Amino acid sequence: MTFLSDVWYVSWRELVIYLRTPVRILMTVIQPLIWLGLMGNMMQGFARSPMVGEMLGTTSYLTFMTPGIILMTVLFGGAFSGMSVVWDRRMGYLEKLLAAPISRAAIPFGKALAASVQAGIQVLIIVLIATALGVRLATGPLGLVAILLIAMCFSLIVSSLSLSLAARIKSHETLMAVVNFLTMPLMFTSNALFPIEAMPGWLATIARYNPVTYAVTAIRHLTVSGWDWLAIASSLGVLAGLTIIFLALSRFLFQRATSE
Amino acid sequence: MTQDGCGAPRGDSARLTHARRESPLRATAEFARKALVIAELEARKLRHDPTELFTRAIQPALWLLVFGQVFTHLRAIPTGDLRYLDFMAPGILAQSVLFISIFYGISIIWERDLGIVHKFLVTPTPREAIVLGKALSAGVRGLSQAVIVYALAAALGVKIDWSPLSLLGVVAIVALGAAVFSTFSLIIACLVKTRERFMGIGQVMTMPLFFASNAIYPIAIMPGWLRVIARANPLTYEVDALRALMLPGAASAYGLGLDVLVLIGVTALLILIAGRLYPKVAI
Amino acid sequence: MTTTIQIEELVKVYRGGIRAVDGVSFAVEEEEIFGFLGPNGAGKSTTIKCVIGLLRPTSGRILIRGTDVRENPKLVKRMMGYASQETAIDDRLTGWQNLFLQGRFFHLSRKEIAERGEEVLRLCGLWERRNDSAGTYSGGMLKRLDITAALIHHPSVLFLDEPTLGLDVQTRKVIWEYIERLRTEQKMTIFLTTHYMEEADALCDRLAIIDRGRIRAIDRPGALKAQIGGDIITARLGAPAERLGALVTAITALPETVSVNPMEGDLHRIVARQRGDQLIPEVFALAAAHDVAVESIRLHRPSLDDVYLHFTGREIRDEQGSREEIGKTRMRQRRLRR
Repeated sequence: MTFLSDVWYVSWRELVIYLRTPVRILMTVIQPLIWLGLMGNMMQGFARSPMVGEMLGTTSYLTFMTPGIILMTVLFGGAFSGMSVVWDRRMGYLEKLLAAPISRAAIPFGKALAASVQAGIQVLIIVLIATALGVRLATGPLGLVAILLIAMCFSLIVSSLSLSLAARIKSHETLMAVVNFLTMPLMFTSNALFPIEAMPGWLATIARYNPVTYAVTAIRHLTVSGWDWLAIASSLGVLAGLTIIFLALSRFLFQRATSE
Repeated sequence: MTQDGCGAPRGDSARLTHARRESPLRATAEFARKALVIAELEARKLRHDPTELFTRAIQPALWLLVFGQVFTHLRAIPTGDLRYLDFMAPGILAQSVLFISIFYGISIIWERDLGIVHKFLVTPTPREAIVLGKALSAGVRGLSQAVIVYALAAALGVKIDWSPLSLLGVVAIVALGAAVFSTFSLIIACLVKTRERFMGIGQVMTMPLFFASNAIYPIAIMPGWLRVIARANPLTYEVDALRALMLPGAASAYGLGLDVLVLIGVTALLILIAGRLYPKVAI
Repeated sequence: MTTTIQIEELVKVYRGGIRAVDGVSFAVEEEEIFGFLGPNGAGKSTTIKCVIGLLRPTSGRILIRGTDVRENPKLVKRMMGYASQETAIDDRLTGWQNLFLQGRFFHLSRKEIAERGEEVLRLCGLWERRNDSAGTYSGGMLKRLDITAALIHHPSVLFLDEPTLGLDVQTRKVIWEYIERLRTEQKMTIFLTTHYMEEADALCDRLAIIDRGRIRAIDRPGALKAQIGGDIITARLGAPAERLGALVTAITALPETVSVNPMEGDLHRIVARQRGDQLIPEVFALAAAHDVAVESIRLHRPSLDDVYLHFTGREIRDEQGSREEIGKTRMRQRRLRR
């Protein structure tokens, strides 16, 4: 029971700080929104052609793109968990946590939990703005709940990865660089921005193995077409598996790095 | 305190009055010399950190390989006679130089923390020379990035104009572009003063600058409001010039002369502002 | 008197073979303020971290109130409070929130935190400012809060790593007074590390001189100074080597002299048995006889500087350190000197 309490309080601290700085919330949603607003608007024209419309599954590129943007915010937001460790380490707060009788694993778990709550908030903001731009969810409010769950689950994966890296990396800039190194390619080689059908062979193969694709596909179904249980279930299965793997990895690396 | 030719000791105020007596040619030469010293210092730092440049190659590679290929294939964006991949290559070149330059400002925050800024401020070097020196070294960084993008583009089959005149032109434009955005980032660094805030703002600025330009799609297909922003964006002029110089058979939409003029003008303006703000970062 | 802290042959070897702590043994009595004095890199922080449990010792025994740390780590952790070199207060939370979190991390109930939290906040004088963001606190307030937060779970032993690092002179005195009060009012046993001579002198009942991972001497500051002898004469002597050598031998032979140690430059430390002022004229006479110029001369009572020099052969000097260290020091100063 104390383990859960430890996890909760580690994440409570992150969330209090997060909610106190609305600027930070803004920073993480602005980038995806710029993509949505600028690129999304731009591409609207081309989505109207019938061939493309069929590939996308919808005549609105904005609707097609929104799930991709949701994943973008989850990807970039998740990277911040690792940053918080670098920051804590510099401030001496990490030492303070380690000197207390809390379970070591509570640190990465708590921060991952906080990241997923933050992701939920950010996704909500994105969906609201997308709705203002004319996007409609095919599955309504219930679908939104499902989307939030998928996004938050994916956020656990990204943040545990970031936390695993932070167990070893001691500088902000290096962590940022490594995280960008991973997130950009993940985004680009998935079906976030364009459908798999539009990709050249080699790219499509990569996309099929990309975890981001699984999350995007599930959310896209919920946004564009409706409750396709088979697709959603298989996506969720993959994501759940990855979540467990990465959480375990972060716990392992953290315990190793912090008990010299 | 050194003595000048007239035997009068040089102090700060004496230096100013003395400078007025110098010919403007000597003053410019002196200014340029000081700027070059600083540029050389920064270029030396570059040699110590080549891994950063490599990771910066990932971005343009992704854009050209993935984005470029897909949209060329889809023929979704009307780029006239040019293949889409060729059309976007100069835009990606400008983008990668933009990225490298925008995060340049962080070096000034490091220098502030190490006390180097204070050291510079007490020398008689004019602030503008310091800033210009940094802009020039950012230009050097940008050029190395340009080489990477050229290599990628050539590998992907983009038809490039390899004539020495056009290469020289590209070098000049890239240097100017780097100067503009690195000085801009210096101004931001002087205003925000902390690393964390800078990283946050840096991320937020690069995307709009990039999307609200003609880098990846022609201005003609933009909605009205976006077109206005793009016309005011220095990146647009940089891309326009690069497109004309880099690709055979592509003409500049605004005229090469105007492009260069805009870039020089913006650089000069930003250097003046940055020179004023530079001491602020020391606080 | 029960031994509150007992350390036996503590060794810590880092990956890469660096022996940061090389067989350190000492004991701290109940309600004693015990200090480790040494420069950066001597092994002070490493020792504290091994005792706290932040680092795993390579070998050695650590007993807190008779309980071996390895046998019952959770119990021992509850007995210890720790404040690190960095002031680990989150600027973005309020003083109260920082304290509250600390309490929850030590598994105290809300009621316990409410009561004890008020008690310790009043103790350090921050009760009125408890709902203000810690970002608005001065450097001294941050340090006081940090030390206070370490007390929330009623530990009996307090470990302070460089408690006044980065603070300005007046604030350091305030913190010293506070630490004294903790010992007397709260009946705490305190172990601290420092590289400040004045701090060790002002606070510590007993002191261990630590250098390169080993303890060179343990005693009360007064006793350590007495060990060296009486006054210290520092003289700058200028002459070629042979004449100088002869002079040094002659001075050492004097009955009042304890030892003569050459130092950097042309400085020489002459330790007098008791009366340095009586030794000086004899030094001048000998110097004239040996045709050596006495360029400057100084007399002072032994300080811990001299103690340190005596036991380690070196002076405590703030090491420049790497670029990272400099950056860290500057950041710490900017934060604590507001």
